[in-house]
Amino acid sequence: MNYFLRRILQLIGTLFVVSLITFAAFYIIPGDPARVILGPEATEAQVEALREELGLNRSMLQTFSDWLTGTLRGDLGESLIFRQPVTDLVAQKIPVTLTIAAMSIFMTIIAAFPLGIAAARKPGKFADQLISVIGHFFLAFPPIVLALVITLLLGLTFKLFIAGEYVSYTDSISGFIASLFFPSIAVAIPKIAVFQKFIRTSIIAERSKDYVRTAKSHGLSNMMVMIRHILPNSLVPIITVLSIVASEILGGVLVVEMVFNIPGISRLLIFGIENRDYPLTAGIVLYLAVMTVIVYFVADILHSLVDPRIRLK
Amino acid sequence: MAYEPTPLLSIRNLSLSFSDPVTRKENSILSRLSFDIRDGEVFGIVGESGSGKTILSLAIAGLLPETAKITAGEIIFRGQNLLSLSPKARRDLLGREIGMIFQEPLSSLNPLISVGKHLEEVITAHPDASTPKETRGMRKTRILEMLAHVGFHDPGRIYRAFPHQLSGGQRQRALIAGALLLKPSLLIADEPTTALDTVTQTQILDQLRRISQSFSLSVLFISHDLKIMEKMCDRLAVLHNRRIVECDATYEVLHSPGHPHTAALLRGARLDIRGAEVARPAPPAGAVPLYRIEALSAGYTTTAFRGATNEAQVLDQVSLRILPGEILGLIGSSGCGKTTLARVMTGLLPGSTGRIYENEELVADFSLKKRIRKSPVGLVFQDPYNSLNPYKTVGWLLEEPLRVNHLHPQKDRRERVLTMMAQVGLPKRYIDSYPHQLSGGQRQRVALAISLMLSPSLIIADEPVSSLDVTVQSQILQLLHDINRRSGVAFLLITHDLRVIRAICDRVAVMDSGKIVETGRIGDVIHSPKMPVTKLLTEQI
Repeated sequence: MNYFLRRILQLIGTLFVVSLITFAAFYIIPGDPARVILGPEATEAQVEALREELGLNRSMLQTFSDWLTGTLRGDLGESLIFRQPVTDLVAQKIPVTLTIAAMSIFMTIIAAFPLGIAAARKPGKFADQLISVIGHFFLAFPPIVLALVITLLLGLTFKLFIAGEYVSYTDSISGFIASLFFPSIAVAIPKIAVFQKFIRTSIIAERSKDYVRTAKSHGLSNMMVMIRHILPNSLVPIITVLSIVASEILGGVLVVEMVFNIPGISRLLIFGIENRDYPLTAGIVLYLAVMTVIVYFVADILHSLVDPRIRLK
Repeated sequence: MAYEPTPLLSIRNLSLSFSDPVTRKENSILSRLSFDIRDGEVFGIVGESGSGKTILSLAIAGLLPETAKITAGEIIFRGQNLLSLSPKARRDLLGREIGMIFQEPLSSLNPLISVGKHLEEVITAHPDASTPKETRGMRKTRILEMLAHVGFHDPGRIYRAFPHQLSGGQRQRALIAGALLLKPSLLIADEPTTALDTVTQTQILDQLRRISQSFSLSVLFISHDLKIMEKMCDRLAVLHNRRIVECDATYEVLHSPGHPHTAALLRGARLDIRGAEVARPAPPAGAVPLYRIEALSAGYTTTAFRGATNEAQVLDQVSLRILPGEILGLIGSSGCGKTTLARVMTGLLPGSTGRIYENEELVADFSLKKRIRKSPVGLVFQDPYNSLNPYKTVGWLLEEPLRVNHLHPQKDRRERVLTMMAQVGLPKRYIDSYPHQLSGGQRQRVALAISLMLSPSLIIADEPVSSLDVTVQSQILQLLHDINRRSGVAFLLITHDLRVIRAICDRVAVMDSGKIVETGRIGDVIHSPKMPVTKLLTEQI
């Protein structure tokens, strides 16, 4: 229990710093939401009146503390431009983003493990080298380029999917998943390339440990030694790396959403930044930060499940 | 012709080589080995490191690394040549007919699973070894019985325990239980007690001896330690230079060695350095000590996860005098604080209270959190494999102390390095060699030469020979002895082995749980030990 309490305090600390920085950024970067809303035709007096109404004339600390007290009550405030609660706006878009992220993480795991294990079987031999070369090839692609290549090649040339078509989950769940399939692949591929390499290294390192020799001396088959001894032990560092990969995937999704023209959180975020809509932007950043912290939290719990030496204290 | 029963294991003309993965060159490791192990006997193989003992045991088990290849010969187990069996058939023998235990009990268990799971695997890996309808509960009963048999008083707790919750000795027992669970007829024990402290060592060996008798088990016992061999083995083979040079009843081998290498091993085990020379006379009572340590206490503060600190007091009011030019031995069991004392003296660790004087001049007062100046103390560590930077040449390593202290013009340094190499018995040609190209003994010579480069008045040598083979041990101790006589540098020799102390020290200090409990002339302490700890230590030799 002590562990969870400390973890939550950490979470709160992290979120506080993240939102403070977000707010500070808005006060440093020039731009005025009131001017954006009223357009270039409005008079200076009209803009000033709106600024007063929106509370833009207050000091940064005051704005921040107002926002903070609202947030603590679960109210992220209202978007300056949309004039709707930020929670509602985010709730509409975030399922899309999270689905892509979850699909990418899933793809990364199911592809990287077999590849890493296959490469580790005989280091330096053909399969290992082939996987390594292909891995380096995909690693060299930034996700945004990969997304464009997939759209052009698989979408426009081979017509495997209709580029730019998005099916909402309110219309059809299977259509929704299908329309997010290729964007998820674009996010996952570079991560698979990194992750399989790490799995390979970690398996090779475990394989020469003394307990493997013991297991073999007990008459266990190579398969059993791999499943019962080598893999579980290599999982300990793998989980750590997976949590880093997963949080990177969250970032990758934001980029790929733009390329595939998917109405996820990224468009809302960019809109919020461009129009200096600080409650909207801060709200989204807060959501993303919570996601990242949750990923690391899950990694901690997985660690304690795999390794009896780790107790959550 | 007398009736000779078929031996349990018979090695016939076995040759084995390693192929270098880069150059594809074949390196012969074992050449035309032949010996038999009879039913119920303990057969020992003794040899220095690198003699191929471990590879031989892996060859018998069928667990050779991919780079090793058996080039000729047969391994006949119960009348069947193992080399002609399929990998699956050989694997099935492991655990069922051939059990194995290894040198490193600490790392030989999977840290993620409990002892019970480990042992259960032995049974489930051999499905027809148990009746098909054996339940988990029945398996557990068998495992608990075996755990009790290897000397656990609370098998239930051990069954549930994870490896990290057990000591080295307990882990080795658990591994023995795993190896014997299916009542094999041959146990291969590769240095099973080398990594354990002497008390645990004795317990485990007694247990093994007892078990081998009660199970009428044959044991192939591998070790470098002749004392253990004498206690354990019925017959003994000496492995040297890829061959078995001698093989006979243990008593015969040890009391009338037929091969010069066996004789060298026996001499090495005695560590006879001083010969007729007696310990030097005691210095006059009022002599000014080179170093004087007064009421020194020290410990480690470990910062646990998030802030909580843990203080462990290691040294408790230690007072010690080191006289100019003497070799002072510091002995104690592992964990008693010997190395901590060395670390405080060399400035690697601050003390919490106490003072250090050099030639009666205060150099450190820890009560005032003050180290007035660093003393030029040389240091030699236990592990010559890891204490030298692998990417630098011998010449570079030896020159470093001069270079970082800006001593002597650059052109003179190489000359000084060569002089020092000659002093420690390193041939000139090694100046451009890298540590991995040297043997353990040569590396320890390099380490000693480095510590001598700044001409210190004291060298602290922390277990300088405990990771070396016996014949090399006596060479290095001989060197320490010669350097001490030649240059008058004092040594503080830290060890857990009284034979090492007896070989070259003038005086000895006995340490126990962070305190110096006894000091005296070497002869007095060995022949009339006052404290129980000292008595225990003297019983080793």
